[in-house]
Amino acid sequence: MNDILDIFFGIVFGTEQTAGIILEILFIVGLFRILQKSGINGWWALCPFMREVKLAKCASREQEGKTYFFISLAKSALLVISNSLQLNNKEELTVLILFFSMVILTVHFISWIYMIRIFLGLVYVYDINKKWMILFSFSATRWIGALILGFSKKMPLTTPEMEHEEALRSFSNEEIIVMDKGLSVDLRKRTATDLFQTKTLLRDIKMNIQPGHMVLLLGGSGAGKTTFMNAINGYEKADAKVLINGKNVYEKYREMKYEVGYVPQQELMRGKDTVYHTLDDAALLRLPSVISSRERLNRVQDVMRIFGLSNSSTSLVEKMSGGQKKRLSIAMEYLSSPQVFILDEPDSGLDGVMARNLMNHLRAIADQGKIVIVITHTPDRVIDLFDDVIVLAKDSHKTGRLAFFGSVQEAYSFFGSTKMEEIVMSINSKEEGGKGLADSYIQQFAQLSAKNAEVQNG
Amino acid sequence: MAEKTIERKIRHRGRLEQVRIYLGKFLRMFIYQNEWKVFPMAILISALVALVVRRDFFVTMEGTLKGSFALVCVAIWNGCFNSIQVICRERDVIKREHRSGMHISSYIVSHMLYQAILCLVQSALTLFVMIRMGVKIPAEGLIVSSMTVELGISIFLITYASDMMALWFSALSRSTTTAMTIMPFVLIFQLVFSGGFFTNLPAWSTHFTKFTVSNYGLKCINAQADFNNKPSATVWNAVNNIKNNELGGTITVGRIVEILGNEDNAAIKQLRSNPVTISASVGDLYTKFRESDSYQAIRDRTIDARITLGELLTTLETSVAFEELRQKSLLFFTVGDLLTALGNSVRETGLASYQFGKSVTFGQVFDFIDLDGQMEILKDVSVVKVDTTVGKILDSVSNNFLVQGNLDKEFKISFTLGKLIDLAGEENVKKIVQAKTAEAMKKDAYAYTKDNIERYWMIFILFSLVCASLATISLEFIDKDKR
Repeated sequence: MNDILDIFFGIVFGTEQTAGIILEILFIVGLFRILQKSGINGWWALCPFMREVKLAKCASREQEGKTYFFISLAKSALLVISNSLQLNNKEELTVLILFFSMVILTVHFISWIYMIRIFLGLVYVYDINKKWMILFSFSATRWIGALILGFSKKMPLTTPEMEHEEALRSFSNEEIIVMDKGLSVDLRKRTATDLFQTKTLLRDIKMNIQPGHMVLLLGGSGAGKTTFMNAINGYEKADAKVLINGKNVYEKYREMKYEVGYVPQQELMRGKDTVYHTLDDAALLRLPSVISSRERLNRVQDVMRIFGLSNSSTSLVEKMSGGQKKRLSIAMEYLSSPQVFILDEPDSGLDGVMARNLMNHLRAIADQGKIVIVITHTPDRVIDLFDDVIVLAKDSHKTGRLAFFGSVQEAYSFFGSTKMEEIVMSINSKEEGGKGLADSYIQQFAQLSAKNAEVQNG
Repeated sequence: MAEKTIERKIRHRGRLEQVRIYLGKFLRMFIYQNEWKVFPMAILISALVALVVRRDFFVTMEGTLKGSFALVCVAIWNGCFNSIQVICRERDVIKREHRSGMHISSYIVSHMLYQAILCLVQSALTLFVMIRMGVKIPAEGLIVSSMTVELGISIFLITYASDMMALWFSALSRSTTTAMTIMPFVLIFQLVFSGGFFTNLPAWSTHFTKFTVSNYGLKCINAQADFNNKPSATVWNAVNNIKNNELGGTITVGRIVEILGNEDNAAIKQLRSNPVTISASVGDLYTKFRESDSYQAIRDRTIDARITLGELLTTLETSVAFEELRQKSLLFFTVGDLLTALGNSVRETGLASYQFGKSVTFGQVFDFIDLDGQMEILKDVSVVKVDTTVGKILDSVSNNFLVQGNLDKEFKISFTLGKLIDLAGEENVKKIVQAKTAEAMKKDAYAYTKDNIERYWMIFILFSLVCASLATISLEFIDKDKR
């Protein structure tokens, strides 16, 4: 019975000694207050394993918290196993216990490192001297740090995201008018769930993009631009309806995935393959199987000519310049002539001339009646090539929302700016050096959309 | 920017066609990405290993075990390093291609085919190097006609199973750093839990050996090498190494008697139970009799005048009065044995009815009948055969009053193991030692049977398929990767 109690206290308090239990209770009291200060239910402090996850959240070290959770779980499991070991052979039992103790020691060391990382995050969040880490580094003293931090008047600089979906405002219930041609997006919600929580990454994004339009996608860091693009092409599905020329991308994904070309930010190609083979293999994958070898070859050669790659067809991809690699990466998607082209920072790492040249290519593609959506962090040097602008912004709950969708001129007028970079500045949070007006613009645009919808509905 | 319009069809290239596309891609990578380096690496590793194992591989049990372990290590090493990085290093590219319509199963199957080609060539090179370096592979195989081909198949399957296992780990790893961190643990695990080589594993840990390629690899190669019928050299080599070492010290007679009488010792017990047959001639017995005190005592005894020579001898042979005399020990026989022989001899010559006519002494009778002459004639006649054991002889010696009187006497002994072996005959000892140690090392798993080898081959194939399936399942979750 005593053994079972020892194991139980060992799991709950991380120690098996009575003095340790008292210190652990004091730590829990301090932790209770720290969690409360960050807007998290303090009773989590009583929950073994999860309390460190919540503490890590207060310290903006969520990943460390999750890792610590699994390591602690493994450590406790190993403790239980090693305590319940029974073997007839005493010598073998000794060896086994020694082996387990070595493993537990290793796991304990790893968990200690992660705990240090979490407390270091807490030090940053509370903007206190790093010398506090000496208190937090040892289980015998960390209760002092927790009590002082919990009961002092000092408040954390940042608070974690709200945990409950109920805290979010209700969705707009207006239905989007579906177009026969072009791209219609009605994204209600895009969430990401792990063992610990469900996060809303994007919500309430509705738009219709006309064929032949080149669209700029703007947004600060973490606003959900790439998540939005992945939701449009159907690779990472959201609670949404995405229609291309009236066909639902999610329902007919096997067919429709060839209608959306996605060019990732990095040049994701095999550096040791030649340009020709890279394109030929891409054509084999993307083009319908009924196309003959001759037609495929012609298509590859056409695309190489269009993107200025004909002279480098036998070169290895890794030997090409940054601009050439970007063009090759776009050409791979262009082979299948998709209706919607999505490009994630295609001009990153390119100088002004090369970036302009590349954007001209994209404008030419849009002029063929296709939709081109581009994420770029330097929009002003090529803004004349774009028709529309999508502005995504992080609201106060750190969820990506639509702050604007319309023409370039309408965007300038809506935000009262003359440059796209100023728009980004205005929606970025103050911690990111912006004006922190995201919520205001999201609300204004929602009202504007509702008014427009009323006008359209008569 | 004029563009031709392509008629769009729903059907795109299926899994089988995609396998062909990726196989072609991997074969190009072989040239451009310097993957051909695995071949010279296989040659060098095999040559290094062959240097160590070439003499005794397929010759003795120990050499075969050492050689098969080294060969399995080479195969596992080759297999693992062929594929441990192939998926994780291009994980982002795979994700992009998966988004563009690539089937994960096609990708893995093309890797399976490509890796099979690599493993096949590596196995052939390994075998070639081993043979060139002087490893003597038996000629005939059990399943196919050539043992070289059969061994080649085993090396290929071991390499391939390891290759597929590493492919799975590569599919699980998000980066090459992670994969290369896992790799040493995988190799050490294979090494430690190879089953046959590290035999002193704790009992609870032996279950791990069921999941290692090295365990089945070792069993397979040992079975093919006919391990169980090879001589064992370890103990004999150890004996040879110490046979010139001087042994010895001070020992008492009592200690020797104690050692020789200790039946708890299996070797002594065996020695003591060995049967011995001892025979003696009349000459031997008479010489002993002449040398004994009894001889002079009996010479002086008087015989009644009326008694015949035959009666005298019968009296000597049967009378209770002479019982003590008859029991007198002459080596392993008694005076009684000698009298019986003498009586028989006298009766045969017809002298038995001779009457002395006056009182005489036994000495006069002995002289009358020319006892010395008679005995000279009869000296080669075998008198008695005694069936006894070494133990009884040792007990007899131990109980001798001379021995019993000197139990505390110390003396120095000095000898070498070699001299002891020479006493028993070196070839005999070698044969017995090798046979006994070989018997102890035999294992059913190493039996040279078709069933055994086929079973191990099936295990490798199954293992490879399971690992490839796990790699496919692991990679199917690639869309969950963080961007």
